[in-house]
Amino acid sequence: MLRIRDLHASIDGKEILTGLDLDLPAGEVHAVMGPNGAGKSTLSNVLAGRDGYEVRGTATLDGTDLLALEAEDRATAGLFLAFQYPMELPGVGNAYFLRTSLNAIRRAHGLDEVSATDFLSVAREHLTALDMDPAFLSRSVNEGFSGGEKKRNEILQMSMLQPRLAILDETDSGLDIDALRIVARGIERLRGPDRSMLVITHYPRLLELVRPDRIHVLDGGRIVRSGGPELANELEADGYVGVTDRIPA
Amino acid sequence: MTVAADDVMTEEAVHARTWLCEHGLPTGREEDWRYTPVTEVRRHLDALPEAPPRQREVTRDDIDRLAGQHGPVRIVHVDGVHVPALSTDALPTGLWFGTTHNLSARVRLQLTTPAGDPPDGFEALNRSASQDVLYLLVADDADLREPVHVVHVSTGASVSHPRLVVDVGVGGRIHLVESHVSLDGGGFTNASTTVRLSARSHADVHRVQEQATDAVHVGRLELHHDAGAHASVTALSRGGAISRLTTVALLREPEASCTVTALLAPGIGARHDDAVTVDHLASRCTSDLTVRSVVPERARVTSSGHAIVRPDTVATVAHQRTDSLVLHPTGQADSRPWLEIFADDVRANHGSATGRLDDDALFYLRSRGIPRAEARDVLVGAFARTLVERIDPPSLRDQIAGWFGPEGTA
Repeated sequence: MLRIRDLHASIDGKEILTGLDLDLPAGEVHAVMGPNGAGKSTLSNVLAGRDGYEVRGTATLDGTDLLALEAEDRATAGLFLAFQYPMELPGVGNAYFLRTSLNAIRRAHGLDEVSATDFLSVAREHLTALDMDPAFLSRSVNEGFSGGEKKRNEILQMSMLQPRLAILDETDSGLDIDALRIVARGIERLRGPDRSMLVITHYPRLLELVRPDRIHVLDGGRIVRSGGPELANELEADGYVGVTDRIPA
Repeated sequence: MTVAADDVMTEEAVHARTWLCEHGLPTGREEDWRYTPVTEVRRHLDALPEAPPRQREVTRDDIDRLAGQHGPVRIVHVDGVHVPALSTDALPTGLWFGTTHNLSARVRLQLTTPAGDPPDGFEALNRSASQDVLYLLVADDADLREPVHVVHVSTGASVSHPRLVVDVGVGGRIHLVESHVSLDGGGFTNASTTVRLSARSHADVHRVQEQATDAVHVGRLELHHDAGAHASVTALSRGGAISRLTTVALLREPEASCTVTALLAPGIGARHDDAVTVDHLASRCTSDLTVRSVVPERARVTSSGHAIVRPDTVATVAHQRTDSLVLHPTGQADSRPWLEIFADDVRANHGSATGRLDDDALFYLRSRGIPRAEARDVLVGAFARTLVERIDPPSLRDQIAGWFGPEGTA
């Protein structure tokens, strides 16, 4: 599924990712944890194709060279990024945005576009599953949404676009316990043998609700330690400093 | 006094012609015309012949395709000449329509009101050269909410001077949609519309300029408000290599009000100059001006908002807001608020913002699989949508939304 080798990324001459290696097999959920400034958001931005980074190394999704693709082509190749800070788009209706996105991806795969009627019917099913008010669809994208609503809207998009690889960039940040549970339930619902997820987070709390297959600790722009779900408990007990201090030189 | 229609028009036309000979067309040295490429406008004017009457056959399908159908009443004016065969016969109760050539006695009196000196050379030229002025009279207390659609067609490379006069009686109401379109390119349109609003009357005016990309359009919309009259003007401008629209609202009596909304979407390399003047001549008058412009490659848009508050008036409110979205480094947007306030009891403000497309918003859309060009269209449409959503009738709203790519409500 996702294979990253010796990934370097710089912005304004400052190197953030310093030779990152990562393998994420199909059907697995991996968590990437790390302290502030470790490079977590840079990793998600670089994989999703945000402009402004100088990048070298390789990152492939099912053998496709992601780094050679434009951001929109990465999305149609199956990559989805749930943003840490979802953009507000005043004047762009949520339903219009979602349908445009869905149809862009369908077009890229040679499929017919979804009609407005069919779209609304499918969207309502996803909204219900995520315990979201259908009124979400008639509002501008994220405009005036609470932090929790924005994150749920990201999960709604992921749910409808059905990506092969979902990167969730600190989706738990700014959520209260109830909102976190709803978001976690949405993520769990999308787990499947053909889908992989990379959950980027600061805190082990989300990982109690979304059990990862592997946890990677990112520090200084590269993976410094990997382990099973129990690594979250170790991080909770000792912090990043404690865990990274025990890394053999 | 009995005044023959032709005599009335001749008198007005002669006066305008005399004024034009004495004063000439505006130049770029005049403050009101500083941002209009007047030399280029005049060069086009000099190079083109006056439009011969009915120089090209225009069909109903042409009108549908170019201007749409925005109400039960449609009046068609081709190169400044009324074409009954393309216009609606039946008019709603309370609406009277006529032209220079069939003025009835009841409008003669109104037309003998001296029009005064023309405010500028283009208006003088229009008054002196317009061949077939259209008149719409709304009876006192008539409530005409269904749009009256007046379509001005320029058929080709010639000059035309369409002129429309609307008179709304006391307590009356009209919804006017005025479209300026081109059958073929290269034309010069020098248009003028005057709306006289009697006491407590109301006019919704949608003025659509969607002429050919190489056309030159100079337009004037003048509103005269009596006490308590309200006008809501929406100016929608897309066509033309050069387009200049002057909107003037004269709030002559107390408690008159107007809102002026302009949406400017010139093509690549075009020049659009939108100049609005609201003159608060009496007390307790209010005005609200909102302009949004989308400026593509090598285009230049200038938006001037001139608010005048006269001495000895009280409780005046005058707001202005201009926002420009510049899509390319070679595009240019100028905003020019101009407040002349000669009274103390005034609430006035103006705000202006010019920006480019937000890279983060573009990335967000692209990260959802939407190609860059389509993502750009979505954001431009969103910028315009705040104003587009207010357009009524829905048929016109859909037409204008189409300027900014496919519109979706899912």
